[in-house]
Amino acid sequence: MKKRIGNIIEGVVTAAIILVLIQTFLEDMFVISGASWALRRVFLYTGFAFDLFFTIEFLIRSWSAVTAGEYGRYFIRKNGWVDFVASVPLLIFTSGPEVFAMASGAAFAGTGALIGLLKVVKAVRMARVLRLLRLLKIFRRIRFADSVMVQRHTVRIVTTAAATLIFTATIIGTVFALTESSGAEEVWLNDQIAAVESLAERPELADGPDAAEAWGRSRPSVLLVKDEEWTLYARNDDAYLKRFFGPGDFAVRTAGSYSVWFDIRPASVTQSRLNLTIFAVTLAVVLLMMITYSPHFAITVSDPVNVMLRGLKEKSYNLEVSIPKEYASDDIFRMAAAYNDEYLPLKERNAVEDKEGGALDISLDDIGDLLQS
Amino acid sequence: MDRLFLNEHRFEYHMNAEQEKAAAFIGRLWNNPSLAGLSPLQKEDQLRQFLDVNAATLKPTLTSAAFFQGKPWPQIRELMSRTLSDFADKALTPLYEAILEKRLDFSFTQHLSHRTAAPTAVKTQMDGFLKDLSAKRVSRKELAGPLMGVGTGIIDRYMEKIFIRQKYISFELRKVQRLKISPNEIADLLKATMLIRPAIHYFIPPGQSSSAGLLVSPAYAAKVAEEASKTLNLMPESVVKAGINSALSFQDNPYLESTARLAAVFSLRCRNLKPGMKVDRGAESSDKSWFNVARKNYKYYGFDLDILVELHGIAAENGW
Repeated sequence: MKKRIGNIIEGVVTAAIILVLIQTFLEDMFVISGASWALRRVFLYTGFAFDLFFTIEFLIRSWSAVTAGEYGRYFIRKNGWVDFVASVPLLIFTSGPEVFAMASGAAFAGTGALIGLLKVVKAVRMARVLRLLRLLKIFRRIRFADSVMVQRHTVRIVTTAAATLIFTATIIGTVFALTESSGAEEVWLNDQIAAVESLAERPELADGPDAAEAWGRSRPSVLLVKDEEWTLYARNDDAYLKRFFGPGDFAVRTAGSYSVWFDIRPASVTQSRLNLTIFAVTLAVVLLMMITYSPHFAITVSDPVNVMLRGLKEKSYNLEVSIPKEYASDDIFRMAAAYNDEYLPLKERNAVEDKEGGALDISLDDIGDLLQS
Repeated sequence: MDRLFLNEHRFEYHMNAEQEKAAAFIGRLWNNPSLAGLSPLQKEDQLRQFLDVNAATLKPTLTSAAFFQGKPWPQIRELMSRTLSDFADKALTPLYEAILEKRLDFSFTQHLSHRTAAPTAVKTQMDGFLKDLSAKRVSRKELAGPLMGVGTGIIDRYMEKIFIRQKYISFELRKVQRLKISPNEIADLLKATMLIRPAIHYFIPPGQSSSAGLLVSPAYAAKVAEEASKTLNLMPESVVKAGINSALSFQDNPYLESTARLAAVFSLRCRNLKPGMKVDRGAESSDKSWFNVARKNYKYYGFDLDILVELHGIAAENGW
């Protein structure tokens, strides 16, 4: 019963892993496609729910490992570190603050450096890539090879490659997000900031609706220009803004009595593209390893070993190891050649001379019920 | 897998209670899926070994109240052995008929010199001869390979390829042995040669072990051939002689008939042949493996290396 409940829980966790990968993919896809805020909000909430779920899962597994006195084994050998990295930091630094911001209706606002805020946004979004580590958990649960050795070696190499890719991308992406650069996006934002500063120095540029509209239209990222509570210019109507913009999609900067609302979604789109690229690359690495490396390992290591093992253990088994020409100089196939050329002929001669026979196809296991009855 | 060996033979004959129990026990072993596809003689050999090897484990069960309580173990063992032979015998009779009817055409005898009996008469005589061979333990065991070879169609498959290739074996059969008959008839001739081969053991004097070696001396072969020719007096003498000569070493007797050399190879190949055997990934096919191993052991078996090389090539080309 306990085992059954355990299996059910593991099944739920596996389903959650698959769903969170789909969720991560779709969330970025919707950001890139400019989907409505209502739709993107659903994915932000579900992302938070998944991060919370996996954080709880990690804590339960940790507690269970601690009480069993094998936390080190769980964290290192049983990939508890993947459980940790793909849950707790995401909940604390990514989905948690996002949900909090949504709940409070906060937007990036103030007179501080806009680029600094955007860097934080990008770094936080970059961290979402860590969710891809869940892919490795799924990969471990899939039984894709007959041989335990093939499975283990492939899992090891895929895990190493994919984890390296994800961590490297996350770290480099975060460093790039937080450091100064002269990329197109930054230049574009600096241009907007300069525009706001010029407005602060020369308020007459937006003095009145006509001037404000002319000023706002000349800058594609400006959504609204307000003077105190008066809206001088709005690029779109209210319904559009409500439908497509949520907290975090815009930033407000003040210049004297003016406040200017900027569309900062392009920064998110750029980040989502990067995230999707990493997602696709990771998936491709995992799948290609499974498709190419796993059979290669089977052909060049486990299959010849299994054939020789059967030949050594079973008297009636006399099939030779197939030696591919291109790998004939491999150690394993040199051994297989010795097995084919030396061992099997000797075994055959022994079998002929063995008066007791012994090349049996039937064993006591085959008639277990008969013996019991 | 060949249909000839797939029939499950159920036996009903008058038995006492002990025989019934023994038959039930052996029947379960006989019909075990792990032995599916084997010929009756292969099964018999397997189960005889099984009973010997596992005697210690089987003894508590077979001496229990459910089976033969109070009966001495040697008697139980003897009963089991007899019952096993009964099972094999019952399966062999229809097998001989099927093989001689469907797998072997004796019309080739019409084209060979010295004998002119009708093929049906030769067939009837061969049927009786096979029964004689299987009645004697030493020759019965040696029948397993030839029966498997003839029954599974392996000879036909290889002979077809041999005559398409027109290489060493074909040359030996056509030009050296001068067989002026059709490929199908040569295949039948080879099958008949294989079936005669166990006579080497049949004519072993009582008390002398047959397992002294795989090969016999030319002098002994000549004596056996003489005796076998008397028994198979409707079969062309050259065929009988080739069957017996198949136990001679080719290294020591380089003028051995090519049919005798082929019969030796195929008889040994088919002794432990398992039709439908699943080939593991990473392993060579069954025939290819066997012929390659035989190439390494050709002196030990007295085989013609060139024949093995060609048969290995055929097996490799066809994935056999």
